[in-house]
Amino acid sequence: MTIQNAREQALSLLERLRDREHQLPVPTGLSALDDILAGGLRSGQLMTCGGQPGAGKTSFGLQTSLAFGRRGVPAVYLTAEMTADDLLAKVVASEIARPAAAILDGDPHALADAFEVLDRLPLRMLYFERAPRGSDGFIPGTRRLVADVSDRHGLPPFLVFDYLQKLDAGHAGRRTMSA
Amino acid sequence: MRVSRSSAGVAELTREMGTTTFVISSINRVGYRAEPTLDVFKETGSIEFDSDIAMLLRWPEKKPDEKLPADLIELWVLKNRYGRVPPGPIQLIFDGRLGSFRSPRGTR
Repeated sequence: MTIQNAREQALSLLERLRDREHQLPVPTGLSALDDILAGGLRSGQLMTCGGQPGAGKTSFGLQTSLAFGRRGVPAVYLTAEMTADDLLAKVVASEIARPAAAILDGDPHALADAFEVLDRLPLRMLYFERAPRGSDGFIPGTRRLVADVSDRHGLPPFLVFDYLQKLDAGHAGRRTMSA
Repeated sequence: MRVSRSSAGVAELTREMGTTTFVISSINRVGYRAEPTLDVFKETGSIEFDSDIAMLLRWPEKKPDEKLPADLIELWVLKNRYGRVPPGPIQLIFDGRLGSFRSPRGTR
């Protein structure tokens, strides 16, 4: 391997960036946050969100997934705690300004409203799944899901893990922990 | 150790596959202090090192006799690898019933 000086590295970087498609950040829709993030979130970025119980971490993840979907970027929401039904009900409930419980309870008015908004939501861009499990943990299965969605839509998705401490690190992780 | 392994795996996947990744994480008691720091993620793996952006959602501390809207919530940006870290929180309105965030009226 030949070591490059910084000018050679900078030239190579700029040429690579010039040759790929211009990637605009995706705004979260919360203007104060988007200002701090210089316009929004970018491909290859990892964002972590902590919070007190009930402070809206899942809602924030869902709202941001919708923001990406509305910009034509797919979103994969992986949950270790909830079901896809719960998440879908939350997304639709937010759109019809009714509690998710009303949808899950089968309230006929809530369901009628929900049917009406289905095509207003970017649901074809969203994927809600249980976080993968396996002897090697959640990463291999997640890679397969991301590759599948990237192939379908032609670009890598917005990816949510809900939540980190509940993800299955696999046997290797458990061995490391017990060691 | 197990969670550190998970967060390192998520960081590697993000870089290699070009995703924009959002990780929800538990926090420790530091998140309840008046001015939280990145230490909120201590003992929850190495996620604070692996992340480009780290933030905290929490209810504001009310001073005695202070009247704040019940749905006002604070969003603290604690790390922003490629930009500024504001000295205080962003104020947001969180409607927990509908699960939606918005900027307070009078702000953009």
